[in-house]
Amino acid sequence: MKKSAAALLCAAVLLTAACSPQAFEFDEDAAVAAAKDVIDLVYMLDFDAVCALFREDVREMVSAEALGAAVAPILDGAGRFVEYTKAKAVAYNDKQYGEIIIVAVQAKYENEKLTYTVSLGRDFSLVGLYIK
Amino acid sequence: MSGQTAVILAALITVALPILAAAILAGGDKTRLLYALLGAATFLVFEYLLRFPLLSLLSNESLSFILFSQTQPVLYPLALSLSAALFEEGGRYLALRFLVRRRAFEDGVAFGIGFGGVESIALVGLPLLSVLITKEDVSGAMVLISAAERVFTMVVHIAFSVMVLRGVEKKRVWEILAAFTLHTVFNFIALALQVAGYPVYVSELFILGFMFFMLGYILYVRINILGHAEKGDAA
Repeated sequence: MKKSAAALLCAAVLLTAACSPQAFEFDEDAAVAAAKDVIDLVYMLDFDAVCALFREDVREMVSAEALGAAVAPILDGAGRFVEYTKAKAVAYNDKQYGEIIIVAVQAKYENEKLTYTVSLGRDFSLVGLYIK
Repeated sequence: MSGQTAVILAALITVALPILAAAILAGGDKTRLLYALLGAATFLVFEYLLRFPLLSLLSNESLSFILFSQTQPVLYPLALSLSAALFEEGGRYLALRFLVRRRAFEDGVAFGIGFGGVESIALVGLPLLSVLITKEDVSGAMVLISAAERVFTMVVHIAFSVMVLRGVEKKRVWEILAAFTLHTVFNFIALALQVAGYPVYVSELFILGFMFFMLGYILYVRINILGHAEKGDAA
């Protein structure tokens, strides 16, 4: 009985921590829309425009050329964009970048599905972009 | 030492050493060799056929899981460690409980060599062989560190196998739970040290320390068994 209770307690602690409230309030729909705007620019291979969206402190660390070299081959293989299938966002206090909103968006293309993880500042300026 | 020499040495350590260890321990005993192969099969089934595909499915399809991995620097490594302990110790328990009929200390060691050995071959040995073929430029020090880590973890797997085997043989649930708990703690600390950004040697030193702790357990069990055998002989 004691063992079962301990196991249940551990599970409850983990579940509570996992479902902890957002780090701060934000408009999820607006954040997802901002992330999709970034993804649209990436799909159009407009890397200068993507770079312009980066928050000032991050912008100096990225270049349109480097971004293009990393991203273009992934999109070449993916084919034509079909639709966004799902999206979800959470608020997070990052040690390095401060208060950020992380948006995960799954997009369906002709040949494969890609999952974008777009990190945005509270003003929706771009902080990070990851494609899988 | 050049990168390619380090790769050859590391490939020998991670591929030849477990095979040699299993062959020497088994000697002419086919059953013991079979238990080493069973250990290898258990790792392949519970990690490569079950856990890795499940994690891959979650990280490709579940946006909640992706966001969880990005925003939970403590809970995410803990979840990964718990899943590794659950699948590996669960698999070990099922195999040792239902497929292993002879449960001597050396049989547990053979099972552990197979389990840890195939992990060493699959995670480091085979990728190193492909590095050898493609002549890719790699850091010799990093390659040797990863090979040494596989040797350390093989000893840990042997200890966990002996622990679960004893739990099954003596019907002591706490020994199986101890293997599960220690496995979770071991993986979690090693992973957390990496996530926290400590230099690689810090987590390797932790793994080395844990290996000595588990080696102590193996020796304790061995000495205990010998002690009981001597008492039996004297009686």
